[in-house]
Amino acid sequence: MMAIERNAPSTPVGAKNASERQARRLAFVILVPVVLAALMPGIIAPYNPQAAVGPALAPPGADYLFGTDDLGRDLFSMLVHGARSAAILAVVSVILTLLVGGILGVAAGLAGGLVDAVITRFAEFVAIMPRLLVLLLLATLFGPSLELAAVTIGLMSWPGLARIVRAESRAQKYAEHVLAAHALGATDWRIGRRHILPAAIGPALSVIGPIATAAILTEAGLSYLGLSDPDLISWGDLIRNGQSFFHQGWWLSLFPGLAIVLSCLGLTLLGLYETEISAGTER
Amino acid sequence: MIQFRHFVRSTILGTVASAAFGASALAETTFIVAVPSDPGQFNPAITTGAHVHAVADSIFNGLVALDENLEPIPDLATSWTVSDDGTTYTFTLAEAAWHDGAPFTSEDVKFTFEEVLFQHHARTKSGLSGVVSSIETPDPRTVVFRLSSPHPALLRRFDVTEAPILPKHLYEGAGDPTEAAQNASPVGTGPYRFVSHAPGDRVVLEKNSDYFKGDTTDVDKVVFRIIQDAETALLAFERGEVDYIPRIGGQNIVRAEDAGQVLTATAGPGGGNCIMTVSFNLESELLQPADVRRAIALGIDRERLNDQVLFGRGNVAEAPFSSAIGWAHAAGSLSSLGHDPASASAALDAAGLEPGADGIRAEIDMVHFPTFSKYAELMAQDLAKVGIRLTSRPLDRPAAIDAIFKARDFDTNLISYCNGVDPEIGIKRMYVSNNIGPIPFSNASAYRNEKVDALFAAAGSTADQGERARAYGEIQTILAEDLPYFWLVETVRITAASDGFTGYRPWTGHYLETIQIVE
Amino acid sequence: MLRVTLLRCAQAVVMLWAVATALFFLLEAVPGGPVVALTGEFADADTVARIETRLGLDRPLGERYGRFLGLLASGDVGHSYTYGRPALNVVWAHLPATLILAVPAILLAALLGLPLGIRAVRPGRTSGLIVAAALVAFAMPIFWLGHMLRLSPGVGQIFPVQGMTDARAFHEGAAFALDVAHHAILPCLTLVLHQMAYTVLITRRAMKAQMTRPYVQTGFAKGASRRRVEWRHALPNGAPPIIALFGNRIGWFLSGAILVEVVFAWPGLGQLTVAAIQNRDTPLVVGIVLVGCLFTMLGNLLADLTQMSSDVRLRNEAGAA
Repeated sequence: MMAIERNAPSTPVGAKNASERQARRLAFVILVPVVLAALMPGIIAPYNPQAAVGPALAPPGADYLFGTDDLGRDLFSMLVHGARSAAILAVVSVILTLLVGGILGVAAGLAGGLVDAVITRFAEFVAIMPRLLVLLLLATLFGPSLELAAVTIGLMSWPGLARIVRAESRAQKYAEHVLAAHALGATDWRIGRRHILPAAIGPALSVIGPIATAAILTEAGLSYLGLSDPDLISWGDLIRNGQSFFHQGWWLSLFPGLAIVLSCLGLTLLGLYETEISAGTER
Repeated sequence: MIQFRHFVRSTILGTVASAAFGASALAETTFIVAVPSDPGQFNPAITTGAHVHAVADSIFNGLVALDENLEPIPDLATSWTVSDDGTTYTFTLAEAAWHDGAPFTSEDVKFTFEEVLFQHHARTKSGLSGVVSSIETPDPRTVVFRLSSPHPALLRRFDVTEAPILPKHLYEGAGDPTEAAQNASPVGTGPYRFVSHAPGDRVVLEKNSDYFKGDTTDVDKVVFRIIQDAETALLAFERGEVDYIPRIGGQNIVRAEDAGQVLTATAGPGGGNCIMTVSFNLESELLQPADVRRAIALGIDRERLNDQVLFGRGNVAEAPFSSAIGWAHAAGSLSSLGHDPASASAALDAAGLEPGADGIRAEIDMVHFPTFSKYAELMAQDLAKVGIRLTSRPLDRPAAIDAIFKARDFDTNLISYCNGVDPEIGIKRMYVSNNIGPIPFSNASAYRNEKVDALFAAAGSTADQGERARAYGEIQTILAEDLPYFWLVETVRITAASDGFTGYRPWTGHYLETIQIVE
Repeated sequence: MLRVTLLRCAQAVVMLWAVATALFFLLEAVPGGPVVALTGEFADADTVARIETRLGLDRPLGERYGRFLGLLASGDVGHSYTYGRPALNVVWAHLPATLILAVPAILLAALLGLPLGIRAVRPGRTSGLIVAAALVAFAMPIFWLGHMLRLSPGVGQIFPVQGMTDARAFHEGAAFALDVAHHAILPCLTLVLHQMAYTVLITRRAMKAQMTRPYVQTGFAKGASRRRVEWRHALPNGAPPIIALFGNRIGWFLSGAILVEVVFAWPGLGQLTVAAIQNRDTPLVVGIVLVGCLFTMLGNLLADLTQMSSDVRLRNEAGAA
């Protein structure tokens, strides 16, 4: 399985054409408001998202942009605060994936032998563990927590990246310029830093979109099963709550759903033209 | 064979489409109940689990049934007499037969109580095994219960949920009744007999045409469909794929009424007359002063809980005991605890809990089942206004029970305490000091008051209802003063039912015994 | 190839042991046991103790793990607490329902996703639409997608909203099969849309990389039609990540399509998993996951073998991987 991605080339970073620029622009248009909301929800949101500020189930309008929920909370404000949860999920899971997947991938690729075998087997083990089930169990063990979900998703998403990085590292290890550097007496560390790492950046960038998307969607699934963080507002939990009010307040499940779709769309578009959508990304 | 002929006819005569997509071509009346979880097994005498009783109670009978006012009426016992001292109950039994044809006798009753209920049915074991000193069977149609002391709640504890009667001839010598093969293919005396169980999918029962009460129902088959997701169950009800949902959320009343009818009852299989109750952990330093607990109580807007969570279908609790047990309920004992944030803040100031720079006086957590999240959210909103930060800790059922009753790791918790039909059954357990410990749904607050212990003991051993009511009244006055718990709202069980049928009895395990097609 | 298969089998055994062990200890750590689900509420200490003894839960952790390993070695995981019969029997009984959804969904996603993904490489507006649709489907929470399909004016009204069969009819034979198909359409459509989005995006990407290669240009130069170049030249070379996608996701379909099964109250392994966790039915959870893992590994093996048979370089290297 390790060798699968090897002959899958990564498109060179920076090669741009019109449609790519268009996709990028769209991604920014979508993501900038989300990032702003995540950074300063208190400033953007018109109301306190936890407090009853209006009548229950008020439809979208001038006073309450996206309407209110069954407890009279302003949906728009809740969505704005939910952006922070989405951002935590995306950032934490992506950073962990890059760190763990990058380090283990390079280590396996360069060291070879036993280290390679152990890392490879471990990656297979992590990849095969059913993610949603592990999340369910951990949420039951420690209580539902968004941070815990983000960390767990990050720690379970790296095998796909590690596989790509390992293949790239191996390819680089035997590439002529690296062999030459070796012959000239460069240390392993230097070779890793100067030659291998730059080559691994392409595939690393490519997994950001799918990993972040998977993290947000997985948390939504967890919320759907009733295990959302009680202290933070998450879009998935808003959908779940909104579903039972579909007839009295269609806006309650529609807008959070659109928030998820748009954000994930933006994240995917960001890397669409260099995205190696990892085959291992599960929800 | 008849099944097969039906099938052939329906496939040959009907078009393929109508056979597959259209209404059933069978002339039978099938009634579909949506249940949220698989019962796993069908012996209602070894468990108090509502998921088992929701299905299995229809297969069995108790000695008595309960009418709409939860008063005992005949079931397997056609009549009974109670001795003047309240310690001897003599039941005359119906001429009933088990689904396998064997006759039902007093031996079945004796066996079930002694070998199964007193050993394995949690409530009946703890409530009655120490009270019943002997069970005699002078003849096959008569059974006599002798008690060590009067137990006024006895008859109410003999219905199909609390004391279902099992067939002795199938369970005797079959080893541990919790492991018996019979539990997977139950044989009862009830209105419906067991047909099949597809795990995770459905349980099928059919009408017992030899039912000893006669032809009580028009329904030929009952199918219990396992539908975990409440929204899916409701949608199926709206589309006519399901006829009955035993329990729906208050927010769905309007939708259910549009699609059928809504039944409300204060009781149901597995427990009734429930009060949504906050327990204060009296072992927590912060919550030890009664004044702090009182201030928290004053900070909670219970009217709003009733409006926004129960959509007005419940009642704000007026006393620690359920109003459904009218003779024991001390109405007005909580009247001084209306929503009053100003007094709450003042009381917290007085208790030395000054707000910090961020306006927060104290932080407490609340353990609850995920289904009660709405209550926790609303209370967090209310308490934030008096400077208390309430953090919600939703845990699934086994984990919450573990945190509350075993680990005792909580400041407050939210439990729906079902009072049952008599204070002896569902109320006493919450307050008596010998019930502090790992037993689920016992004295969660760890409340100790010798006087309360003594009053419960006195009330539980006299048959004089007036005397009992006085003792219970006194208890409620003390509780309203001590506030080991805060009683929020009396909830109701809201049921969605098809309006194509009538005669539902949603307050009992036999909710389908008498359903008839509306002509 | 035989050597690879044998090696894989040995690795699979180790992997199953590792997964089972991880789950055993995870479930062990989760608070609350199976007793409450069995006895109901209010059970006293004595009743709880008796059940724990019966289930062997009163034994020390080491001893229980030892017994668990013993069972595993004999290809068993023990009796389900909820159902009181061998957990693997319960799993096998639920498997057909899950397969009824998974197999058509996987096949349809491949049959539809592959041509669309290939088509999406060509320049033009159609490609943009295909990619946009795939991106939206990819970004949708699957439970929400399913629920929205159910509520949508067209398909949502024709098809049943839950279940695998009409609970009122007791169909057999051909009518039964039709009834199941009728019920399977919405959940299956949900899964297809989801998997198809993956397929389109990955296929498009793999093909795009190939289409700039010199050999493709050569093909064009030789006068081959675009279709022929795409399907005969580029696709076989770009196939590995596409095959890997399907190999990898078999496990997801079996134990992971939990949400779709819960939404549609489908009586398969997904709904069973959630219930088993709530009931703390350790043998059942382990059984479900092990069966899922087994299928995933089979899927991966098949994917690898498919690739090896089409790629000489891999065939030579595979032993070392």
